[in-house]
Amino acid sequence: MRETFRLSMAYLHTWLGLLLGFVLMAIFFFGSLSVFDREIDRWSVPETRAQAAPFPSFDRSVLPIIDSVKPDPESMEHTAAEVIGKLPPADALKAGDVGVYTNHRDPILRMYVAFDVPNKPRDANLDHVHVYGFASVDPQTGERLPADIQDRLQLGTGFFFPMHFMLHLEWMELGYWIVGLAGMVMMAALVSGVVMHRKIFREMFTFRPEKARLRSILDLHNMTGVLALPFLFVITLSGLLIFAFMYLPSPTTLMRPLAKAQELVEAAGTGLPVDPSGKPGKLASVDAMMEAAKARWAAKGVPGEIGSVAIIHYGDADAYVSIARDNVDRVATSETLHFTGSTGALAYEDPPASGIRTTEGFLYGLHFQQFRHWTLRWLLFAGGLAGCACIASGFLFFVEKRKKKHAAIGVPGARITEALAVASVTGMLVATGAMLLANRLLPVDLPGLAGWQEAVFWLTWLATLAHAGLRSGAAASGGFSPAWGEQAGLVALLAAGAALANWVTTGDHIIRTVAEGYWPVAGVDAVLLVTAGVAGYVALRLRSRVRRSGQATPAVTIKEPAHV
Amino acid sequence: MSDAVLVLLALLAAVAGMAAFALANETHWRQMLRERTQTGAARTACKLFGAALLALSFLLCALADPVSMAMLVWPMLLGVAAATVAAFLTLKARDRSCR
Amino acid sequence: MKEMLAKPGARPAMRPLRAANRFAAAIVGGYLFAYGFTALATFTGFGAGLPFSEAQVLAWMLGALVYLGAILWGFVPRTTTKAWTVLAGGGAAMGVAAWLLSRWAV
Repeated sequence: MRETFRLSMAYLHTWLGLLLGFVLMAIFFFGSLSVFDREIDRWSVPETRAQAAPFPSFDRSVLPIIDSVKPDPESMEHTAAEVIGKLPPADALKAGDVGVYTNHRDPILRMYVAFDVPNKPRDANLDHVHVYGFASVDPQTGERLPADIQDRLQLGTGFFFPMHFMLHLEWMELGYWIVGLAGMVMMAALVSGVVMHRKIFREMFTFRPEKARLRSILDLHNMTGVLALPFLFVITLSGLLIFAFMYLPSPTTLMRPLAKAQELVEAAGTGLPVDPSGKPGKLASVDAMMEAAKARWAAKGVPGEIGSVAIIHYGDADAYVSIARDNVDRVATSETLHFTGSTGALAYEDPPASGIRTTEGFLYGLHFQQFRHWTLRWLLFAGGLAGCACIASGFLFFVEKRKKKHAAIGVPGARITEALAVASVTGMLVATGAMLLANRLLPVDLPGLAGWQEAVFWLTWLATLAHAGLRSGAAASGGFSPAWGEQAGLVALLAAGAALANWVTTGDHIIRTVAEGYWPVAGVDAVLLVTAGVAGYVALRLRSRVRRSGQATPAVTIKEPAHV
Repeated sequence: MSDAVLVLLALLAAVAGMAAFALANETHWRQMLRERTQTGAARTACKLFGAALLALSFLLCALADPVSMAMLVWPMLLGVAAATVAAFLTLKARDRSCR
Repeated sequence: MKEMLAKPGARPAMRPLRAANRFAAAIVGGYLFAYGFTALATFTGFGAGLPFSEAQVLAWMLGALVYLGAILWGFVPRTTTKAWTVLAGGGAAMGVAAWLLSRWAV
């Protein structure tokens, strides 16, 4: 195909980067935002701006609420499509498992109830499916949050985070698969990027902004890629592993009898009942179990707080309670303790993790980032943005290199790519800023508030694409399209506007939140203001460059032939 | 010594280490030290020194946090350190070309 | 998008359809290769004494890297047919092997 391996890698890098780069921009950008998803939640639902609190009393605060949780209508719809026959009515469903979890960053205790579904699943590989119901509890008061606050769309965990791993494309789980493909392509792009660049480590500190635009764009692309290389590779690999069970189910599909048999063997090894007995049973004090768990961790030299509590086979005689530690001080997950529901005695303790489980836990942990380490959290956020910068500069290089040639021979490729790149980079920022602003400005009692906010996001993004397309002719043979500067200016206005709207609608402005030490909101406002500053500066620089040069500077050819 | 101070020192060590590695490169050596030539011995010394400083940086990270966290913090600090050195070299080059 | 290489003597760029075929061989063929590999690697790990679920986790970790290697290698052979044969064929062979071996083991 190509004469040397290096040239093949260059070809692969260019075209895979182009095909999936747009998706990867979104994945890395929303992934970066997801590092601070719970902080964005606090910002977007001001009623929940409270300090995080440790796990409250389970017996007094949580148990009484379980019976009041109803199946979520959306979940009913989703599960109805997964089963054969009609689902029983929501009221007739019985709770199977209950899970409660909190986090050192989250003041809200979250609960899910998994209702048993008697219908057989359509997918032969699944044993059974559940319908889910949700509740949120204020740990300070022990009260369930009012429905209108609980159902409010939380922009972090409820929108930006799912956007990151499935692009809000639920049909046939297409979003998950596109993200998976993008992840594989990212790793291929990283490796091929290193292979095709002969002097990559020699040129690690090289950035020449004073040189011709094409050279300095390439310098930026190479530098952001190399400096963040370990992070980019490992974060991508770990992300793929999280959904590996979906992407590569071959051990279960090709070796189903063996897999099923071994599942039973491994479950039997724990001594915990896989299926409920069918007979009702009483639950012993969960608070006592939580105390026992904390005592056991302290005895093992790892004292800690409760992270999550799950009741399996709720209401059954064979119920058991799984209690996991809130892992604020380590990357990987730690062992869970399992207590017999009826007696409260310790039934099973997860054994020390094997090498493979430790590695798995470490990779999951570095991606889910549940630890308490604010420096590391900000560093990972910066790493994600470096990934965005790498991809964006890759687009700019591709476009700039071909603009003059394409304009001369009348091919629209470079213009189309640039319009898509504008929408994918600045357009995405504009849409995000617009959504945050809408979150503050739309009335809280507006019916379908969540839908309205999401509509603002998607329609704004579409509009930025249209804008980029319309403006693409202005710099068809060279130089940056004016859309870049115009959208950068818009980003500055929206980001500053969102911070301002936060002040006006909640009274929380950055000086006050910093003085009070309420970092979740202070942090989000700070990032908004810095974004506004940077975007504004970029917009002004791009405008002055156009004014100075009058017309675009010609594209420069690069010596290295490998950059196709 | 508090954890924050240890991580800061780790960052400084990383910056120094990255600077050493940059100096191991002929272009940057000439940029910083006007001498025309760089001996092989000097290059090796820069690389060894750089490696030692980066190792020190990891040690400081491991003192500040449990090792599994240090294993994440350290590579990220290296990235920041390299970016800092690159920014410095870029500004220095600009300075010189403007004079 | 006609000439992309400044290097003299280089072959001209591939026509879109042939390029699409090559990408398909690398990505789809690579996926099939990884799919078969994961099953066979799980069985091998299980046979070596690991709990099945752990063998599966290890197979996934290696499988992602194997898929990566397959995608990169897919652009190396001179003909796309060879790429398809090795990747899809290899994947199918490993998958069938896993299927057979697992039934013999149960």
